[in-house]
Amino acid sequence: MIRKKRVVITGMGLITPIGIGKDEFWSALISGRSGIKEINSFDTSFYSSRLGAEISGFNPQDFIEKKTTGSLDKASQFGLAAAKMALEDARLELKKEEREKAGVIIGTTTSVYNSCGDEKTGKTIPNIISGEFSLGGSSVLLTTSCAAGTYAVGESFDCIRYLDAEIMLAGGLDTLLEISHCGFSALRSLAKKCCSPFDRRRSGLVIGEGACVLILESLEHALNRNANIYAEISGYGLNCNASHITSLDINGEEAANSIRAALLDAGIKPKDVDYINAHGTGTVANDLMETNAIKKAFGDYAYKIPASSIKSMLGHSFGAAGAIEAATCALVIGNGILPPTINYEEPDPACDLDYVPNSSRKKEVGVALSNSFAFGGVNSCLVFSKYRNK
Amino acid sequence: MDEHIVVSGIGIISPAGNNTTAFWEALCEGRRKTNKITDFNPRDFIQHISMRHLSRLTSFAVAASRLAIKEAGVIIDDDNSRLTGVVLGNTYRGWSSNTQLYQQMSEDSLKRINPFLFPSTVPNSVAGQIAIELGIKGPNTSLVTGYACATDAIGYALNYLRRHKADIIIAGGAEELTSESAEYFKGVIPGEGAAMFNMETLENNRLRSMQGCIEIAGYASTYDVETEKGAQRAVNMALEQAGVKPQEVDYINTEDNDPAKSIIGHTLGAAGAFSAAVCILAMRNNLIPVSGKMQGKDVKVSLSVSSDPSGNHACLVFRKI
Repeated sequence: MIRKKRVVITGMGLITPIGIGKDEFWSALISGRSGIKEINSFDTSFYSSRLGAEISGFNPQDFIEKKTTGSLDKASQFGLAAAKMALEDARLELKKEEREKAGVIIGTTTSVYNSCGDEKTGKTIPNIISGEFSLGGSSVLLTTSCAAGTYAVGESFDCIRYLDAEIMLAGGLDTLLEISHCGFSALRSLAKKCCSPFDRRRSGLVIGEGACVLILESLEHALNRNANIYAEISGYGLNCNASHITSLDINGEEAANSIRAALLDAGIKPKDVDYINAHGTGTVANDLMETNAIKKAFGDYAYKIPASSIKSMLGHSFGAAGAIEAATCALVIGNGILPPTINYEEPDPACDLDYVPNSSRKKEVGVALSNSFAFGGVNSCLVFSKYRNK
Repeated sequence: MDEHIVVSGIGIISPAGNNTTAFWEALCEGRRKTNKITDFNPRDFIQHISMRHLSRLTSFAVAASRLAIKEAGVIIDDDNSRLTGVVLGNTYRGWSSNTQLYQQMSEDSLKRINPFLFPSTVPNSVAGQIAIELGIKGPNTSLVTGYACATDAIGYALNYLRRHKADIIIAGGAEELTSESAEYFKGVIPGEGAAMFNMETLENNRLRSMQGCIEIAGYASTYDVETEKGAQRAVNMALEQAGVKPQEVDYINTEDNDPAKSIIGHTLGAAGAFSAAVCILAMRNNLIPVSGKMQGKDVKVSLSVSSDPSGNHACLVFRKI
């Protein structure tokens, strides 16, 4: 039998439309501030929607030396800045032998390669992060689209608990591109007026951008250096609908199976889950499917678990979303406050769970679940717990 | 490790032929074939998914996956679909669907793009289509680590199987050749194709023939811009994990000596999968390629080592059962 190590989150770096850095992000999130506005970066007059969640006020030189930023595109700057913030937040000073084993796993949908500078080297964004901090562990870019950030955290969690890694940088990022807006517009998936997940009049998603990198550490390593522990990662479940590339399986059976798999992996009973960070994109199909999946996985108890969608404020930042939502779960556990689903006005009889409508709520959270359901029918879920010395 | 993981089927779509035998014969002949796949009809392999807007890349990957499960004698049905997964490595260099989509957006004055084309430009749509075609409902993962990505994909599959996330995984790499992808090659001849493997726990294979099954005993991946150091570290870690001493290794396939590259070109993200295929076929046939010729040798242990100039390195250890 393989000896499993316990894994904790000890640092986070965030770049989001509602704030840069965890403090700015968290205070905006619990006050229900939206980062969604009319898109500035390209002409939206051809499209059904003008809305997007763009990042403003990001100055790469606050984080990265000028000579490095010049050869980096925006996505790589996001990645490197988020990684730097996370390492500083964790107060992690790595020794040479620790650097050699530390790995980087980043999830994305569109930002595969740094498209600036010396393109011949073909560096992926995790390569740039590994190189900048001289990390010698595996350096992998996961491309499981809208679930990629969740996958990156899950795979990094497994690298520590099953393999000899002690420290992993795990995260996700994507930038707001016209091609994504254009694509979702063609699929008629964009929200017209606002992003209102689970509301009866919800009309679609809003595309966003962002980056989040988490520091994952073996519990032993974290305790040895007296690190601040945000939360423990307890379970990771993943599967696939295998039905259609874009259409969802509305009854939510496979999504429910990925929730069950994550809970089983964590050894946590459904009734011990205190909060769900929903995928909640705001499309008619996703929110109904997810509601059905939660009901299938939790039975009657589903009505007692608050489940909110922070995409109502951040839009859908694809590869970044899962990582930002993982950070959110850790902050929810640490602060005992649930972020709201904003723009929630008219209940949908088919979506009848507690979505933490419009304002944040105080609640002690021992266990939080984060859901991600993506293109390609890919589902992945993570379970986070309050760290307790068992 | 208490669980043995084996490769029980190989599926190959390549410029040297669309089956394992043709690929092996080309290797034995040692003659340079074309680097472009010309003799391939997706309909011969693909039964369920729609052919419209299916990129060459996707059709190679799906076809090779079907061949791999066929060679293994695996049938995917309601009993095992949730315990079967897919892991795919691909570099997304000049993917034709993506290029087409950007072209549509820039050429159409109203920025109308084909809504059926857009989903096939999402990077994990290839692995998604494999799952849909074969009815695979377990873990479905896509990754990019440059030339090492198929090696890493097989390694991820190995880890999923060891961790009981699945009993069967179809893993490997695929790449299509476009004018854009050719631009990234300086000094090497790019190729295209897909090599996919039916990997499973030995326990899962117990009711079928073990003939041709080769164990994957170790995997490690590292990052280092100094290729020699990074690759060496990956090899050491993978050997240690497999419990194999360096002197027990009978054959090593590396970026520099891989005969597949001289037959079909460098297949980028699929290169690691073709390298793994060379290792497995060498072990099945007791022949190793030595400077363009086959030499008889009982290959009990072989290594596949992949390195990307950007710093990714990965190593797999194969062992005869």
